[in-house]
Amino acid sequence: MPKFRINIRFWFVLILGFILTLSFVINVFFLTIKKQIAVEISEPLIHRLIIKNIFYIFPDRFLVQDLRILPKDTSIIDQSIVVPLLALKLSLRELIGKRHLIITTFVLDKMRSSQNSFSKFLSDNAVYLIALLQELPKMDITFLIKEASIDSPPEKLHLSPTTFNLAVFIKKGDFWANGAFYSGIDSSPLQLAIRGNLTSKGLYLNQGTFYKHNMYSNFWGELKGPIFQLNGYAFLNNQTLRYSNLLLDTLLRRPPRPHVTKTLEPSIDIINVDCRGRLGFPRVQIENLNFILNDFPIRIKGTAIFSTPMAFNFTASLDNAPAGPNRIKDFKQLNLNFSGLLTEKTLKGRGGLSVIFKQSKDSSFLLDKIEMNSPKTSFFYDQFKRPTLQLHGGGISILTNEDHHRLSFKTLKASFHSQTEKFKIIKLMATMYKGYLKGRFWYDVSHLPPSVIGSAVFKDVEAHALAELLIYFSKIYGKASGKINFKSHPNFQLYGFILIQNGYLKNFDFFKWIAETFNIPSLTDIRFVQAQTQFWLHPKGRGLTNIKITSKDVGLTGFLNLDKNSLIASKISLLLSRKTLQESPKFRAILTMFEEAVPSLTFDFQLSGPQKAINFLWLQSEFKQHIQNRIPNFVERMIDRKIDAILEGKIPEESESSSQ
Amino acid sequence: MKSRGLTVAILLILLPLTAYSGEDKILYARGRHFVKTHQMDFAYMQFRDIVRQYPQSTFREDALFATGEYFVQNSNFKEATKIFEEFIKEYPTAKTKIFALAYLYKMAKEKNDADLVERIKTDIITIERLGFVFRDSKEYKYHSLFHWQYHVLLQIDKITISCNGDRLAEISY
Repeated sequence: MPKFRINIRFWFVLILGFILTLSFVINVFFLTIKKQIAVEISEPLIHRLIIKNIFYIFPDRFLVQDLRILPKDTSIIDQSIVVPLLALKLSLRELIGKRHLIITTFVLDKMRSSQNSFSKFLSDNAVYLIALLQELPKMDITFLIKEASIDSPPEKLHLSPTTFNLAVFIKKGDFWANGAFYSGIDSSPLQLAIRGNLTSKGLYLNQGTFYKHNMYSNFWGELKGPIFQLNGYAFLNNQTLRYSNLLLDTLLRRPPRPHVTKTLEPSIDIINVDCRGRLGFPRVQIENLNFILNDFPIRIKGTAIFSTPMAFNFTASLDNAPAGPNRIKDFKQLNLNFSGLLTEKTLKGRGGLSVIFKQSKDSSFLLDKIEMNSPKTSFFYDQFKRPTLQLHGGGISILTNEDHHRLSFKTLKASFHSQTEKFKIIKLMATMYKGYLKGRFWYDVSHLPPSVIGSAVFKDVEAHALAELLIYFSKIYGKASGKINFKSHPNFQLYGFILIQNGYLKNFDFFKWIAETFNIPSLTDIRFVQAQTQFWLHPKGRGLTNIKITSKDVGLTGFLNLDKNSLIASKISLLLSRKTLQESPKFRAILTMFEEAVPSLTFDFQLSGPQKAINFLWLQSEFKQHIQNRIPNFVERMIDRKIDAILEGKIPEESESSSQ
Repeated sequence: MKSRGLTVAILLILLPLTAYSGEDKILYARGRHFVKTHQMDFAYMQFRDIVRQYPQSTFREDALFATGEYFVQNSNFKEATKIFEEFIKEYPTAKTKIFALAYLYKMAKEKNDADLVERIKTDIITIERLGFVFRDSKEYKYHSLFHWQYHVLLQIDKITISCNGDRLAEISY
């Protein structure tokens, strides 16, 4: 018995001594080569590793203390990923039997990183990481990330960091992963559950489920060589279901009751996701990404190059819902294209947006298309951390059945504010036509697509430069100011007013015609104190109301509306001073019918018909009656016949006017 | 011999032309006679022959319009549409064009073809530019080969076209 006791003790001491010695020797060994290990591991990476300590724990574990992953480029500061503790477990069987150092378990504890550094690490080392993943089927691995924390980028510091736990298991080619992401702004975690297989032919994703209290999505697909295919669906509900366990429920032993909280944001249903693409890091090509978003079919194509800076281009189109409550009347398609670069804080490039409207037989909708484009677009967070869109050059084109209207801008800045839950605000500031425009738009996010209302004021805009918006402005000179109000679907409207002070009308068509017909040359150049009008544009027409031109010798008031076929309906009252009328030999004769005390004469006209050949009627008035009383009927008929001949082109207007 | 041959050749060329100028007149006269005696089908045949056989005839414009009227009377709107479209194409400056358009407008409305109605409406509105200084309307009349009375009243914002007192089209704009 004593001999046996001695033996046990002896062996225990011997083994303990061996373990301690082995541990000591290995720990000392790692202490000396930790730098070399860090260099060896980081060799294929764009990043470098710094290891503070490596500890060996008998028999098969290692603890790496304070691991830091930094860019090799030392000029880049504050881009580190810190892992305070990394635990590794070896396969002893592989080590002893085959002399292979195989790590079967990785545990990353409390990893910390910023979003920028983490995404930079992934994008910079994507090729190596993918190659590493392709090696994975050959071994069984457990990969655990505990309480990892990723800080928001500096421009989103108001958001809380994301913390996550993730467990990935790979065994005999099958893999599965479970995880949860916690964000400070949302108390409910985003959870994931993934299952699939890794085979020599490729990677098969059998289930990729992402869910939280108000969201559920599921995807499946495969990656064969560089080609990937992904299908799935996602639902993001505006109803939040929560189970509160009340004391009464506990006492009565009944299950907790669900409480439904409804938010103002609309439900988002994404179905029939069909994505096919090509992975060839750093280039990822989306050959087609089709899905249906709340009944709206969407198609996206594009390419992203994960370099520094990241480059990408894409085209996306959204068709109207074929039927159902989400279908938008008279809407056909929305197209968006963009190509540019994503630097750390700014998205830069060129892009365009177009909205195409449907022209149905029974529709009286006026618009064909609204296009917006800019050769230089950038998207960034401003000094108040607000998403901001800035455009240099470009404009908005409005295409109707017959006309093309355009509003160009030199610069345009739109910043997005989201203080209120239902209405989000866009503040606009644009420089255009040597003046500026300042506005505010509200978009209602409780519906999808959101409806927009807004208003903007403009000041010191060169009036004649607005000719591309409305052709009438081409002959109007002066600084224009005014206000524009806008309302999107379901009742599209654009209306406002414009005021031009101390300007002039040069060869304005209407006055030019009167000037040539009645030989009043001063009407080709009218200096005015003030010219103003209200304007409106909606699906059934457009027009100018309350037109008022005030000048020393000429006055004009009235309205001019155009229907969807661009047919004019207008009434205009023209006031001409005695001095102006004296210029015309014909009016000189008429003036003799009136006393000297009458300083001016007013002509009331009704205009109608197509813009290029306007019909006119001299409306009945006291002044007209006065003239009619003074001239014989046959002269009236003769004048009307001559007007007919002029309009039919049988007598040239100039010779007619000169003959009078 | 040579001059005799030449004379014969000239005669051979001129004879059909002489016959041509007379034949259409005869057909026209026959057609009018059949209208007077209320034999509309026979009248139509005469006018149709003028249209088909004498493309240069001065009677062809009225005859073509009359064949369109004949199909309207017989409620063969498909054929009437075809003829009035041909009429507008061949006689774009005719005074009677507005009545052909009025028929097309009426038939398009009966077919509920809103797009076509809009197009014809624009054609009618743009047919003539109007200027009224001392009067406030203008009118035309047309007496067709079938003795149908047409009337158009052109106002600044309204065009009213009627046939035998019945309204063919009233277009406000």
